Amino acid sequence: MQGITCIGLGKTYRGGIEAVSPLDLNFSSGRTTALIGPSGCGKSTLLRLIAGLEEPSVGDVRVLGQSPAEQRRRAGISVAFQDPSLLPWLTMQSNISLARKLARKPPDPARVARLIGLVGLGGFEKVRPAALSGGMRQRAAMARALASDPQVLLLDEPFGAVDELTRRQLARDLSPLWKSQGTTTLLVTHSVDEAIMLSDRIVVFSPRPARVVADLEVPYAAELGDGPEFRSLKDKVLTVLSASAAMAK
Amino acid sequence: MSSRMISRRGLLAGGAFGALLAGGLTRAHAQTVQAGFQLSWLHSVQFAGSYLALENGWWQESGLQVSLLQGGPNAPVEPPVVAGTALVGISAADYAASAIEQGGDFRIIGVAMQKNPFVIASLPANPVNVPADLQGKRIGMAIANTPVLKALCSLNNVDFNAITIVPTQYSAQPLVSNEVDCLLCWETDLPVAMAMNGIKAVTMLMADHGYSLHSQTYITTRDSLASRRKDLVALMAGELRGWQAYHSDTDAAAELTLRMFPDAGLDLATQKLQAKRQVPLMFSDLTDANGFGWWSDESVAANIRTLALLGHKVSPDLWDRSILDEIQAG
Amino acid sequence: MRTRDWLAVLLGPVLLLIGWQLLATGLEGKALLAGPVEVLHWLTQNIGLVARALGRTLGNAALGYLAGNLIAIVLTGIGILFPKLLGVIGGLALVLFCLPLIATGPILRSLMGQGEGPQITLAALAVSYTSLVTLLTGLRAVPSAWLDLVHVYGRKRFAELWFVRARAALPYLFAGLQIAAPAAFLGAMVGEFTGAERGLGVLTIRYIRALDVAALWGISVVATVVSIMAYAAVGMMARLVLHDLPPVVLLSSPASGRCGKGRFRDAVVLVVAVLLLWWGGIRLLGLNPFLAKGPLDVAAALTWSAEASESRAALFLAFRQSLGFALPGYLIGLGVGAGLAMLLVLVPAVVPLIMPIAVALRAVPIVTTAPVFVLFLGRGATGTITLVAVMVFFPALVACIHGLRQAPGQVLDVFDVYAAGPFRKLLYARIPAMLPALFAAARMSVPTAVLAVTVVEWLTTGRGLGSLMALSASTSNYRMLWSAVFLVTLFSVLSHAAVASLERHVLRIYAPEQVRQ
Repeated sequence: MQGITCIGLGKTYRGGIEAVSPLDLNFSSGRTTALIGPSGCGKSTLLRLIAGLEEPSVGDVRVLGQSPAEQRRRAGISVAFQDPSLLPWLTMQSNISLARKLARKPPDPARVARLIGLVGLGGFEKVRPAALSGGMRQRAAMARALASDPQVLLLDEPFGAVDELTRRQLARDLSPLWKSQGTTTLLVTHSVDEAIMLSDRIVVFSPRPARVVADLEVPYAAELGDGPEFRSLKDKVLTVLSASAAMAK
Repeated sequence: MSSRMISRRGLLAGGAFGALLAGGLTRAHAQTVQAGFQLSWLHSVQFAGSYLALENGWWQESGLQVSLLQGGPNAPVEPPVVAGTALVGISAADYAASAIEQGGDFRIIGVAMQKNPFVIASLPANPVNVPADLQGKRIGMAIANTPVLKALCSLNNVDFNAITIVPTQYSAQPLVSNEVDCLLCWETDLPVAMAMNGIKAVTMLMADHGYSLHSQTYITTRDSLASRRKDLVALMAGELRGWQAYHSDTDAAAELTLRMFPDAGLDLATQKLQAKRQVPLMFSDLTDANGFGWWSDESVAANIRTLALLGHKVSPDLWDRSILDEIQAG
Repeated sequence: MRTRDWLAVLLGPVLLLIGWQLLATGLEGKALLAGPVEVLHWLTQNIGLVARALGRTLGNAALGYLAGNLIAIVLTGIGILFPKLLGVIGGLALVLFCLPLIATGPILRSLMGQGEGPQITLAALAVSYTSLVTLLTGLRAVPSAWLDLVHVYGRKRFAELWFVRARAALPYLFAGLQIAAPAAFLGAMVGEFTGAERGLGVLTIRYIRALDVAALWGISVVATVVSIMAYAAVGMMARLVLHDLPPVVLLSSPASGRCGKGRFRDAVVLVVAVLLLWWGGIRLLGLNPFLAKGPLDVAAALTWSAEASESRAALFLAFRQSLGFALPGYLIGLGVGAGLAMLLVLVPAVVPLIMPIAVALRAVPIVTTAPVFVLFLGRGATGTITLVAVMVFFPALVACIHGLRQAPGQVLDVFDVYAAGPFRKLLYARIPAMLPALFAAARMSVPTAVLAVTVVEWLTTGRGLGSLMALSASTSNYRMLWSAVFLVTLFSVLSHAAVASLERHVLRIYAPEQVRQ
């Protein structure tokens, strides 16, 4: 099976804190899946397990048929972290091109320039991160994640510090970039709106340790936003979320 | 031979720094033999006889290339002599005795200072003229020299407990500022420094009160005595000529010292005074008769007595006159 | 800078000069202190002599500085690429750094013969440890997210080092280079005590004996000014290269997050490595057994030989004396450093007054100042304790200032909301935030305090371990010397470890992010 497959995947930290209880999940190739759930439920840990930044305590992950480590070696994965983590000594532009260097891909100034334009940072190419606002840094980090043409894109609340209007605009402008390339994308978010607008599927998690409490397909009509389809889906997600939160108490 | 092996190995070990040193060590000439001569302290007129020998080529004449190795507060004399880096070193009878107790195989082959240079220095207003004057006084000295003071006391029936020892660094300052009444120091350094600063000091030479201990002695190993006899004779013969020349004109010796070591921070007037002051310690009727560096059997016996008071048990074998004998024989 | 700022900067040094002159005038005739006028006169009279000596010492210091830092950089690189070796590399560097100069000097001289070798080597030794520690800190002081970024693309340690760590460590490298500058100068001067022909160290010895107070103070002033200039020059270079200021402090985290078992393993490996190097080094370098005593000789001297109990008694007496000076000096230095840092944060106006003096005190080479200090404060406990405190106080001051400023802005905002005054802010927010910095300084100052106390004892007071080592060397008692070296080094390393363990406990509460895996 292609895509991203988690088989009995679980993570328990030292001291017995269980971040992810064993999960069986498959994310199909070329689709965008939103992972949604209360804070601290283990979504970010799941993302890190898939990126191979952490070793699972139990179970296994396959990314496009390979282990995360092999997939990383082929530079198939990109991550936009919750914290933009730009390198302070590089200009915004160099931070973005750094991704291609790290991925051992030839420089592509045209693509970098286009990404900078798409995230609305034109004119700030030579500015260092310290002089950018929080939202601008997150947009740069997003551009960096896309710069290396990844096959798998992991987005960890990439627009957390961006205002609502810009967020919608970014979603509209950027999602075609990965959707048109057939990139397998996972998006961790708190915003139900964002989840519906950007993804083909929404997986809702319970409070920690994360279990799947709902797995919903997003019809194309809902993605367009604000119609009745959108509202009914949003209601559904919110109901599931509050029900599982109530159960946890 | 073994000496060169060791310094080569040292060079290899020195790695990056080796290259820097190589320049200094590869100046051997075809016919001359190299010999290191380890001095006991910084360059000064204290070693001017050796400078005269070097300057006048008296070692060169007999095919010996002598390099004078300066001493210093962190440059003990015995290790280079044992290791062979230095053929001869300048030590003293008590240091040689303790080195032998620690397994060194040394022999004294010449004595530059027949009289030990230790003095009790005091100010004229509150003088120490004889050992008995020490009672009730505060003396500034290094704690390490306590056995020296004890020996002086027992030689002269002075109550050691009636003296207050104030540990001081080696400087005349505590005496000048009246922190102590007297100092244990060398005749040729602190009193000279005081004189140059216009302060007159009273000095009581301990050698005049039974403290017999050869100082500024030439030491070498028994190994070298056997294997490098010719070099030792040449080195000591040069020394003898150098110090004879020194005796005839101490001012010239002081001037030469300054010429040879312009960067040593030496002062000509001080050096001239020091040069004069060490003459009575080095030259006597005995050396006039037998040549510089000579010692009598009686003085060896007296040295052994003093050394016993200092806690060293030595036999007269420590002194080996064969090199001086050979020079005298010509 | 505006004129007023300039005036503020100049005020400290000017007051210092005036105070110095007044004191010198008051003490005239005691051969204690030469005033600035007298010193200046001596310097102009002897300008050529001083310039040549300075040139020699500075040249050796520069070579040692280069070599020492290069070694530190290479070792750091190895440690980062092979983290398993890190504990042992750091430990060996610490052991080397803790070796008393009194013992290393003659050994180096007998290895290297005449010339500049020992001076350069001692300068290199004096800088390599601090540079290593700072660099390692810098290479580790990287947010884990930056490393994740590298790992996401499947890259390993080398890319980590190349793209992230090396650049992130630059400010730390410069901070290390900055403190290393005066240290190299000091190392070169001490190296000259082993029988060098020329240099400022040689002149220092000469003038102590000659009672030449003006010359002694003149040399001290020159050495201090040069050290400060070197310190400032590296700082300026850092500003040019980095665009921003280098961190003034080296907050290395203690032996990182190794677990107890890993630390124990490291310690065992380190002990074995040291013993092997000690034993093998003597054989490999062909050191003469008269001078060089191996681990077995020392063990014999301290346990089963006939004089063992006597030697032990002498050693422990000296050890007690040294500890009696070192411990109070160390604690006072840390206390004064922390206290002054708090004062500077509460009353920022005095910063330009205090800082130049503090920097000067740090940069002053202890071998020239030790005799001068002791001349001044007396040979009793005061002089020695003060010198140790002076050596310890500056790193503590700088670290604590940095730490006090670390209190997160938002925490301070919370205090502002409740209109808490600066004093309460200090007590409840800044001091807790300062603790990690204070402990880092405390750990790094352990070898410094030991160095200071042994040098003062050796050069001036004639008591304790420093004096015992000097005396043992002069009476050829090399068994005792090596035993003392062993004891001093062991004590330094163990105290370092003890402070580090205390530090870990403190960090777990006050800066948990620094003890992560």
